Amino acid sequence: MLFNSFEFLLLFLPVVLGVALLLRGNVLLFWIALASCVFYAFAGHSWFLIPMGISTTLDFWVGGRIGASSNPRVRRAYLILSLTANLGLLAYFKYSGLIARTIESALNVVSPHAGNAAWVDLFRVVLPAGISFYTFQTISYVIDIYRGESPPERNFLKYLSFVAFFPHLVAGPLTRHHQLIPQLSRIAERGISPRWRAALILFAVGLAKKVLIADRVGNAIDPVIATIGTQGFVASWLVLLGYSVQIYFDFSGYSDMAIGLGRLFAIELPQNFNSPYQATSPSDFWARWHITLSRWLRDYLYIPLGGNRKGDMRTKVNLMITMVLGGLWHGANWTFAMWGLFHGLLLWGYHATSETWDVWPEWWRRVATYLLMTLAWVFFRAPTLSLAGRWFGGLAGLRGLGALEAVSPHMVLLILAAVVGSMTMRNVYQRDMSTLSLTQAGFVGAVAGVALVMMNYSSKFLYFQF
Amino acid sequence: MDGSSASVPGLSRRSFASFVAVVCTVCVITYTINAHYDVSALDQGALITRLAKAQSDSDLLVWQDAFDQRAWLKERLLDPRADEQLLILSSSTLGGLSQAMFPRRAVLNGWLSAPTIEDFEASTVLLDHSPHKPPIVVLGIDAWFLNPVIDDQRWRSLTAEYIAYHRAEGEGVQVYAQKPLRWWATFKERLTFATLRETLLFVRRAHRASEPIRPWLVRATPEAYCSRISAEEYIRTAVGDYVSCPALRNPQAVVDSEATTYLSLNTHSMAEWRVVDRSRAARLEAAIEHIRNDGESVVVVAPPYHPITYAALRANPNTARNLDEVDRILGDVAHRTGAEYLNLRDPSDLGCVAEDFLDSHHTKASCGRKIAERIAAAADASAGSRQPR
Repeated sequence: MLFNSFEFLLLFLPVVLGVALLLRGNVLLFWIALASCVFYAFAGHSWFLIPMGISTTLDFWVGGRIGASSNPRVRRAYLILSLTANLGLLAYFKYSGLIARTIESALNVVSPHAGNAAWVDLFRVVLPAGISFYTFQTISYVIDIYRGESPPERNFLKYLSFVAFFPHLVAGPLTRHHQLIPQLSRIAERGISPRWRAALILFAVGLAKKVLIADRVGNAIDPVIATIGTQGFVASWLVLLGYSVQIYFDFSGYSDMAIGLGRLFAIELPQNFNSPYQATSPSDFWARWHITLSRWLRDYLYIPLGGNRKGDMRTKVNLMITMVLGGLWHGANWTFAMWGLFHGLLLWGYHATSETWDVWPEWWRRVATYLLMTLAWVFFRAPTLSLAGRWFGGLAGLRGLGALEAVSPHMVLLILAAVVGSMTMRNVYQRDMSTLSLTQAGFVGAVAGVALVMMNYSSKFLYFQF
Repeated sequence: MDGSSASVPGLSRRSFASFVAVVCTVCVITYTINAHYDVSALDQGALITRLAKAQSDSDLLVWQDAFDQRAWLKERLLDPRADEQLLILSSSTLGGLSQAMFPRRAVLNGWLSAPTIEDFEASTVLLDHSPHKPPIVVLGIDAWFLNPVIDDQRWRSLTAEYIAYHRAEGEGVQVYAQKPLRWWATFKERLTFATLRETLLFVRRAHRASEPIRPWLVRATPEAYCSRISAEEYIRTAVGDYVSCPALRNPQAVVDSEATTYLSLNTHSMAEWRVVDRSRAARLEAAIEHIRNDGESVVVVAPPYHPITYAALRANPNTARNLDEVDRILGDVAHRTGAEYLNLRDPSDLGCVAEDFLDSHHTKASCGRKIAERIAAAADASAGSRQPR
């Protein structure tokens, strides 16, 4: 079930919210958990509930055991159990296919038929939607208890609602337990009073971003990207700019919708984007793009690796490890690892030259940062490293100017307008919505209405695969 | 962001009212326009029934868009004056078979746009209630019929018959869910921009041609009507076959090009066809059994492809394997139910060439006559052995 579907908006959501408004206490938590499981089952396959159930139940139990023990060795053993189980599940569902494919290719080099082994089929599994998100959430919960930073949750229903809360389950925002569990306690105690006026406007903005911009641009550039290895300079750049628009408006649109839905349940999910294309350096970009993942990687990977506390060289190595693993978190393909590596190098380069970089005029830095981040999207979107290489070849003009009509003129205008808009305009979190006039609100309503009736042209969210 | 954000700013009350009002207005306008013109033919049942009842042998039922073919078929099958000896139930791939191609039998061509298994199941109920059961029923089964990816909601026009079929099979609650599901499918269809776009294009076309915005009857021969129109329309004769106007057909180069790109453009989802839907085949077998139990002969026909398309399908290991499996399954189904099976998918078996096709999978009359001859022969063989089961 997608947020941008009539089934969700006109059936699922009204029923779930309508019933939730009548409930309190554990019954309300049970209802939210149940609805979230139904939502998740409809997001893909009902068996998706099994790995989520294993991860959730194990970590609830492990959290309780760690909290109850004062023996460091016992606590450590439980932590290792949790990490092994969670990362094992993630590795099996997400990365075993990549490893199997890599081994298969390597074997094929040695012997053309050696790689066609039956065991490879064991690793051709469907990736459960959202597994990367809820695994990281439950890992952070266990680690925080292990570190003594928070007590274990005693109420399983509350814990299950934290993991499975449907607005953030499938594609984030990656929410920490200390952000969500206190809010779940509050609504369990006092009931839900929806923040309609803050919720629906945000949902509408997210829907419009997804349906009217990301999907339109995606439909126009996907056929060109399918032949990117043969495209010239103009088309290569146009579709790259287009993809920078598509990925941003798709994912930030989803996040807006998720946060808007949370507000309907009187839950405030964390902001995930803060005008990332207005960043003035690679470092600033990561403070604005997928903020919840960046913070997770900082708190649970970069800092535990030593962060910047162990000398200049070690800082750089930690940065590279964090970015490469962050890249691989997005998908089981070496292109994602390369995307992370590219970003790691950009951050490394920025830190090495920040004294020079930071004195440039803000506009230069903003444009330069946008172009660098956009070049990185080549690795993110190209299906293989070889095609990424050919795409860079097109961007460098190695195949000439190429056809000018690869993307229609009105689509070029939409892409350019979206790029300029995302580099200059205030985002929805920076605006005081209470000051919108009747006409402005009516205009937003018209855009939302058009997005609503165009939903059937819509596709899945790009971040569902991560 | 620590989660304690009870004071998240939202719209003022008046702006929120304006926002909601405009969203609702857009939806209401979209729904109203789509419902009024009904280009999806979701609510034409009563009109088409009336027209089918009034359609004489010299009338053509015409519209610029695809009208509700199910309502037409239902009315014709339930017509007490009916006296057909051969009924064709298929998609448009056999829709061009006309009375002239069957000199020895009165024919009713009940082709439907995008028929699904639900259509065949519902049609068995129509046959049950038909005052004159045609003794021979021809079922045209396209290859993609058993592709699970292929789905279509147009059968919902026969929801009542579908429910009756499954109720007779002893199925319960899920059958009754079909009524609200039909309502929901209709509602969604009318609340979408895709339909609105088609509606606006249709209205513009009808306005330019000064033609009615509803299906209508024309007293004319197909040739005479074809000479009056400048763009393809949906034309259904009193016998049910569709009319393709020669002057409006695509040039052969375009036809061949369509045939060439059939697979690469994923027409009928052929390129993404992974498995053959055996549960659908089992339901088809049950429907045939149902018809056979009433004493009618059944001829299952696999309609031909354009030679280029067929060669491409055979050259692709995946579609070739699926086609073979479909043909094996249909042969088995026919064998078990006592039906005849005519596998005409390979056009060379019929002697049909590229010039005999309108596109990748629709035949002209020249090939249609050869199909009809084979059907007539199979019907003769089947009628000879006909007995209630």
